[in-house]
Order: sequence, then C-alpha cells, then structure tokens
Amino acid sequence: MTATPTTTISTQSFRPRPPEAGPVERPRPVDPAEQHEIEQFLYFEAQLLDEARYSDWLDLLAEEVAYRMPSRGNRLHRDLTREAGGPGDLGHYDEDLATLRLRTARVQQTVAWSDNPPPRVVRAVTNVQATRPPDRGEDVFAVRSVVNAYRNRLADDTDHFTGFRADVLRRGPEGLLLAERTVYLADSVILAKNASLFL
Amino acid sequence: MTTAPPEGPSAAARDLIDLDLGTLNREVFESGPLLRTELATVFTRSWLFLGHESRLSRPGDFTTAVMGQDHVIVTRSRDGRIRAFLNVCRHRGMRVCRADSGSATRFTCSYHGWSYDGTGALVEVPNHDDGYEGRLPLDRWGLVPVTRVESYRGFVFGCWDEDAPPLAEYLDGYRGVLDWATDGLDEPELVGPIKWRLQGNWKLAAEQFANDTYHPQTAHLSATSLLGVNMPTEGRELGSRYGHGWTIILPEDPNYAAFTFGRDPDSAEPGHQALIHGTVFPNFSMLGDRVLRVWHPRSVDDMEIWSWVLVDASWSPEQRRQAMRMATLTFSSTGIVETDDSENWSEIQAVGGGHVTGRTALNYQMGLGSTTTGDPAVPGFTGEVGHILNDVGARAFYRRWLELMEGPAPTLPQTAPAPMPAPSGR
Repeated sequence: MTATPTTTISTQSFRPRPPEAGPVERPRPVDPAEQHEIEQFLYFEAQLLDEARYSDWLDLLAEEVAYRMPSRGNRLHRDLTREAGGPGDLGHYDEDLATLRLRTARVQQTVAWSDNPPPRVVRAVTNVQATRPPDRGEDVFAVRSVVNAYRNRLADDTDHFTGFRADVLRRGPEGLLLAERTVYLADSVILAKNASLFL
Repeated sequence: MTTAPPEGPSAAARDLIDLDLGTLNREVFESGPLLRTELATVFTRSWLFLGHESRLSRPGDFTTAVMGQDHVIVTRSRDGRIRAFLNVCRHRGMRVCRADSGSATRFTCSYHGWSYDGTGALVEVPNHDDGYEGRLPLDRWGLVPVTRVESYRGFVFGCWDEDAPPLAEYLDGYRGVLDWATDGLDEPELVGPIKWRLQGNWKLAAEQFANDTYHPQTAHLSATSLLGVNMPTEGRELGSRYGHGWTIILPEDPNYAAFTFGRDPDSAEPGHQALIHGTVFPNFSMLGDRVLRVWHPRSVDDMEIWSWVLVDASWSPEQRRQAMRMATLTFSSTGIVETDDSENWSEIQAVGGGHVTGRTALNYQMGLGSTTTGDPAVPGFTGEVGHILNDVGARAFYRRWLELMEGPAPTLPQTAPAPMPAPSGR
C-alpha cells in the first residue's frame, strides 16, 4: 500500500468553497534537515538523468517502484475529476522496475537511433514540498515537486516539458529511494515527437 | 538518379509519382499547395475514422475528432443516431465544443451564445426577438453536418462525398482486419487517445503502417532485441484499390504471437491470419496488438498523432492495465519501438527542403512486378498481393492518392447563406 498521490484537480477546483468548510488546511512540512535531504536526492536524481547515467539512476529506485505519466485531457468543469487518466486509461508511462530496466537498457544500445547521437537535456526541479503521509511511519515521505526540462537534439529539435510530480520516497539502507512517481505534464497534446525521457 | 523536375512549388501530383517505375518524388511530403489539394480531395472523398461506438454509448455522449483539418463533433443524438458535424459555430466561426469528450444535450457557443442540440440544429439564438426581430431562419443555420456517417463493427467513419462507396465496400479486404480485431473481444472498448505532435508529413506514417515490414530489422533493432521479437519473414503484403495496405502473417509464428490477433489460433479456416500493421486509406492505421492511430495533417510538415487501444470492457482491471502498459511500452509517445519511427519521420522531413533533394526520386520498387491479384485467405479481395517484403501496400496507397488528387472535389453540404426574410409589415 502506498501513499495517495496528489490529485491534479479536485472536485473542489474552480468552485467556491462551501460555507460550512473551514479555512484552508496548511501542510505540515518535514523538518529542515529532512527537507534538505529530500531536495538533494531529487537534484542528484535529475543530474543522473541529465547525464544519461541510467544504471546509476536505477539504484535510486525502490524495488516496488511505480512510475506513471497519465495523459491529460480537456474537460468541462463538471468532468474535471477525469481530466487526468487513471490506471485503466491509456497514458504516457505506466512502469514498474522491470519495464524501466528494459527502457533504459534500450537507450544504452548504440542502435537506439533516437538517442544516438544523444539529446541534451537539462532538468530543473523546484517547488519541493515534502510531508509525512499519515500512518506510514518515519521513513516515508510524500513529495510534490515541479520539473522543467529542456531538450535539444541534433540541431534545432527542441522541446520543453513542464509538469509537477507526486512522489513517494522511502528510506532504504543506502538512503532515500523513489517508490512512486506520477508525472503530471501540463500538456494534453505532447508538443514533441516523443516524451520518452524520464522526468 | 533524378525524376523529371517539377516546374515549381505547385508541381502537379502526377509529375511526382511514377508507379510503373516505382518511384516517388519527395515533393509530395514538402509541398504546401499539394496539402491544400489533399484537404480538398483526398480528405473529402475518403472515409475517415471518427471514433468508436463504445465511446458513444448513451445519447448525449460526444467526442471531438478531426477530418483532415476540419474539426468535428461526433455525438449520439437523442434518437440514437450517431451524427457528426463541424465543430464551428455558424455565426462567427468559433469552436463550439472545446472539451475533448463528455456528455451534453446542447452545444452552446461561448462567443455570442448560439446553441445547438445533439442533432446539430440551431435551437437558441440570444436576442433573436429584438436583435434579429425574430426573422432569422434557425433551420438554415444549424451546424454543418458531415455528409455521411457509417459504422463497421463499431468503428465510426465519416465522409464528405455523397458518391463514395458505402463504408463496408470501401473497406474492401480490410474488413477482415476489423473483424479479427473485434472477434476476440466480447465488449470492444476504445481507450484513449493520447496525442502528440511530430515534424513530419502525415503520409510518412500512413504509408509506413500500410506497407513497411522492411524497416523493423534496422529501425527497431534496439527494441526488438530486448523484447525477444524476431520479425516475421513469411507473410503477405496487401494493397487495395482504395489505397489501404496491410501486412498479415501466419499466426503460428511463435515469435510474433503476442503482437497479433487472429480469428482463431486453432482454426485452419480462411481468415486465419494475423495483422502486423495496416492503414485504412488515408490516415487510419492499426497494429496487431490493437493499437489504433490517426495521423492528422496539421500542416505539410507537421502531424498530430492520436493513439488508442482497443480492449475488452469485460477484461479484469489487471488485464486491461496490461494491455495499456504493453501499448505504452511499445507504440506510444514514449514507446521504445515508436521512438525510432518518429526519429526517421522527423529527420526525413528535416532534410527534405533542399532544392536538389526535392528533385531526387525515392525508391518504392521492392517487389515491383512480382505481385499477384487477390488472396485466397481474404475472401472477396481483388487487390494486389505480394511477399511480406514488398512495397505493394505503399504503391497502392499512392495510386489511390494520385487518383484522388487528380480527380474532382465532392459537392460539399449545402452551406449557401440563407437570406434574412424582410421585416413583416414593411
């Protein structure tokens, strides 16, 4: 059982708050040392991906890792809870450790033409908000962060990817591990010839 | 080797393709004027995929679609009929429906409030009484209906040409593919689409899916080696007179079982093949694992890809998710197979603008002269058939393309402006 990922748009989105509801509930951040550790983990992970050190990146993943990137759609307000796809919908990623290993093994081959010559990618990770999900003990964190990635490939093949990530990190023997990630890109139509990079 | 040079940027389609020689001048991927002709002929005279009935099960259910560059709403109206009309308000041309899908009894324009019902009829015009003095003939200003909407096996198509053959006839031997795709499913359900954009002419993708079983051994080597897939070497490539092309193999090929659907793996009856890939002309493609595609022409060098998966609604959540995961892993915006296709298409386009490049012929000669007519395994099919490594599907695609490019545009729906009746009592 894992922590509930952040919902993208709640049933409350775009609606005035009902009068009986109380004021906004503020998050209870983790302590500064933990916040620092979590941020450094995310920055290091982004560095490994930028440098295409995929074998090293896999070391940061928990055995039970779930990596998703649902598709987003344009829905009317009344249908907003369906604006991001669930597990029964078609998305851009729905991976476990086995398929992440497969995907990274492909890119490590010289005949993976889409990545040879390789693209140049820079990821910026910001807005890191970490909390402890209830009933998960001291070693599990729910982390929301924003990722901005710029990818340049060959001469002028350039793409921007922006979204937020709902992660679950847990502490393993060697340090933090990524146990869950759901990437919510801000695009309904991916404005790139592929989104086959990890964000 | 060069072909006869086109006279300018608007060279005629017939000067760019030589089907006897099996060559194609790449101007067909580069010319803006040719795209305008395609939109006026190819995309108006062909049956275009609009969606699947599983997404339109209740009255009011709607989805949006694109026919060439014409945006349409597809909906099941109250009378149970599936209809399609331009997603464009008749008043000032605003997009009427801006949601991808949903359920609605009315489509109301967000500009001035003209409102249309599920049959496309204009049912409300704000200030009709004072602004228009009640004189606007509402029945003349409904949403423009797609001339014909027909379904085959739940697949909904639309066509602007009154004189086009009925959908079932148009699909030709490809009907078998849609039969095989749905026969194994109790309750076919279309899931998706996911969408992405690619620098590349739409035909690069459409013709490849229609024809090309030659490229995987090179283009997809990184994926096939890891997936443990050996590309089939025995099978057939078919090309229909309506421009459809597809590749079938014998399903006994154990290397490919997971990627193909067949009528009945234990049967020796005709129809006992499996699909690798295929295209219903012009831009609706399918793969053997029931991934469906439309390649939308956004501009001459820009396509938008819509991708779905056909599943069985009665599958368990886990089965369903496995089908999605397989499609995502292989053929999708992040697919380990697809990624190398998009590399090829976009780089073909990227180097296509050169003057000399544009006048250099491309080769579609594989299997030229070694095809036969008809296929005993595809009843009623009278098109051309060749070995699995044969450009017959691509040649059929471009033969039909040329026929339509050279032919007339259809008569479009009656959209002549209706006059305003004179005010009464004057």
